[in-house]
Amino acid sequence: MLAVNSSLRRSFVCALVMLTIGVGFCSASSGSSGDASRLARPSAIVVERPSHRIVCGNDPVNRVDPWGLSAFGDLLWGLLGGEGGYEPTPKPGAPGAWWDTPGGLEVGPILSPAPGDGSTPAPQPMTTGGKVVVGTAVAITAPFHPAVAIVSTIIFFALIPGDEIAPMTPEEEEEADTIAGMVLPGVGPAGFGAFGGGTTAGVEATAIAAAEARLLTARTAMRNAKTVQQLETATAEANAAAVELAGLRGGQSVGTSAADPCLKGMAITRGVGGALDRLAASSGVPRHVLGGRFHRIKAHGNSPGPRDTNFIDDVTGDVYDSDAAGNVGQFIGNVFNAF
Amino acid sequence: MPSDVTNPNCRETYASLCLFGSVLDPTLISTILRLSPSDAAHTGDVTHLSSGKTHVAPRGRWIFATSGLTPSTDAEHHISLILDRLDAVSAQPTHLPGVEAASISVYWVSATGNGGPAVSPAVMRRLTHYELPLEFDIYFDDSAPPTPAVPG
Repeated sequence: MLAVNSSLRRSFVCALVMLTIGVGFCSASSGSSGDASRLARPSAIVVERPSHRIVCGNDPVNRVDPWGLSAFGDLLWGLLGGEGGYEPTPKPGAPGAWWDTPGGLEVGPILSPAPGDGSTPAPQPMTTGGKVVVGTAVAITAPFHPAVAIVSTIIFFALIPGDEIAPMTPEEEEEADTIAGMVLPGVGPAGFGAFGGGTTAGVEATAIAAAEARLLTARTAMRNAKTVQQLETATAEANAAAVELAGLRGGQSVGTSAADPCLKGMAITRGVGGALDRLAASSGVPRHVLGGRFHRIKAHGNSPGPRDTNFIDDVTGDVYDSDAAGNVGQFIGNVFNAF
Repeated sequence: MPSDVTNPNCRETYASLCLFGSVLDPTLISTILRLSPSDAAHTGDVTHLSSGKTHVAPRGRWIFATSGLTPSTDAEHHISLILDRLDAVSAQPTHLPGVEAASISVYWVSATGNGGPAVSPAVMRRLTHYELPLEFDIYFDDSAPPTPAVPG
């Protein structure tokens, strides 16, 4: 009797697995318009309960475990066993790491479309249909053996077509950023002491990173400025970001932070004197040599006179003419490429 | 004028005779002035830089600079060198073929953060004779070594 029951059970499980695989293939072929490059891979799984939000699998930013396999068992056990049916993994960033925060009710995986251009995909949530498919697979296979549930669910993850993937909402992106930054609301330092998140130092590091990002964005805007007004607005923003950054760094002047390459440049500027200073400091070329080249290069454009305006990129050394309106004109030379 | 004339407030200076014109022929200008230019181009000449960028000359140019001709840090001395060359060929720069704009541009770098170039009435008269505007391009090099302290 026992042998018969075991045989029947094995057969039933095999049939379920085959059924699972078949449904998965049908789902993939019917929903993706035949574009295999758009098949999604799981990057992380989110389980949210009234009191917990669990991100299981890989770190959405570091992507240390694209398939999240090592934590998959824990997650499913949590799904199947209910509250308390999982054990926390103490080190975010490691394979299978996860974090919990106060959150909502939604249960579902975060999927990332496999990019065809090699770019880093952004984590995206699975649609409701995808959650139903995965939940069904888990519910059908789980009573027989957790391993079967794991295998069948992994197959579903691998075969869910990219067309079913919905982009993250701004709120979800912000939440993912918060998790990536390891600044988790309501989480004390003790739970993250091993990696610094949630501590005062971690908050400061995040603030500095935000200020640096603000500064770089402003400098990009300066580089792309087409008018003097745009340039001045972007310059003001860059200077404000630099002041903020200096404050966060304990008063360290960004102007003397030559060791930090992102702080050296102010991009294209009319402030030729300061730009030549920075270029000389960063390159080792004497300042008066660069000044002499700048003077000669100006004659290559339409505005070489003492009343004309010229621009210089204090990162690359490119020199620009000014147009009729006094805005950044055409490229006319480079102080490191004397000709 | 002696070549060792110096300006203690000047770290480096030189003057350039700058001629511009859309149809300016640098070879012809060199022939007339009997001078080799420091820098010259026809309109549309393309310059390729090692960075991969290119520059198309928006107009023709012919530039003769006095850098390297004398170590003097007196701007007037450099201006006089150019005027002497023009005297030698009796050429009126603004009347040369293809020339639409002409000037003398002085590159001047301060050594002390103050002071400046000076031009005597005699040189100004000569500039007037040739109808040449005098332009200054002044730089202040904060990285320059400090001037030795004056005793006493």
